[in-house]
Amino acid sequence: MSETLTALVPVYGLWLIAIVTFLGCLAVPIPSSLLMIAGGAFAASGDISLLALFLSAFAGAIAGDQAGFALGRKGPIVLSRFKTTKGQRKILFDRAQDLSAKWGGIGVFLSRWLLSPLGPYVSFIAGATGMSWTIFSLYGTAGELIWVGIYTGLGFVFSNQVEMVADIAANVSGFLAAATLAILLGRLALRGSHKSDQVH
Amino acid sequence: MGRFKQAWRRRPVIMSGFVLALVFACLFAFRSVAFMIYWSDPSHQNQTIQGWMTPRYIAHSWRVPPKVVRQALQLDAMPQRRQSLTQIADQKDIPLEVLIDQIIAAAISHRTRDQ
Repeated sequence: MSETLTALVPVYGLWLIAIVTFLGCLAVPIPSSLLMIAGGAFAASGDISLLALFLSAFAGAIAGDQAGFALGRKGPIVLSRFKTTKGQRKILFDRAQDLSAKWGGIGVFLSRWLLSPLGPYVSFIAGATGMSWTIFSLYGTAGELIWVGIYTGLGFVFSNQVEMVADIAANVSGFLAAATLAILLGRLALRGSHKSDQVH
Repeated sequence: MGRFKQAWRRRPVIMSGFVLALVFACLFAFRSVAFMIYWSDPSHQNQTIQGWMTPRYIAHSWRVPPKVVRQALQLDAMPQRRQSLTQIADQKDIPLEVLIDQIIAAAISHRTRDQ
């Protein structure tokens, strides 16, 4: 699938890139990083403009973040049920809210680029836990600048080695995201068991 | 270890997520290292020509003038609308592999002529 998509980059160009980064920021399983790398390579060979590529990827990513945040805020009834129920789920939701208040800005920033596979979920959670829209947007925009810059830049610089860069970047970013998630979940599980002892 | 067992009992969903994330982290770490080893071999660094590439991209990637690729594809000019090799093959009704062979032959003869 990704090769077919890559072939569409020079043909549909900037619209395709914007749509793909938009969907990628909403957790649609679509290789948006790979397409930005390919876009950067096509820019290096003169098929598309690097600035236009950057701007359209950036616009798509920002729109995707905003949509994710709005979905989380107004979003599914499932999430709002967390707020009213008591017991463990209430504890979880409260903790998520605490975390979001304490680490929110940095979390949003890092999950845009360094931990980008987690990005969509952080957007939903930020919206659902009532993070300030200004904070979300400021940190989000800064993070997306780096994310789009890194991937289009990698494609531009390593334009002869698109496959190599895409392979390595995808796995390194997958590792960083999975390892971070493991640390967060591990701490949550251990701390959770400790806390509920005190409750009982 | 007691804390882990307790956590399993009390938070089975979160603990399953933890283990799953750990497994994925190991998998991605292994794949990252494997790809780095694979790509550090210079013989793997020659990018093969593929259907998604455009004529201009191939010229850039193989460091030959765009004219060489254009002539190999028997195009009068670089396509106005950017086209992938697959599209050109479809239009000309020539198998993609044949087009790729033509480009490689042209690029190699261009290089040997230069030397």
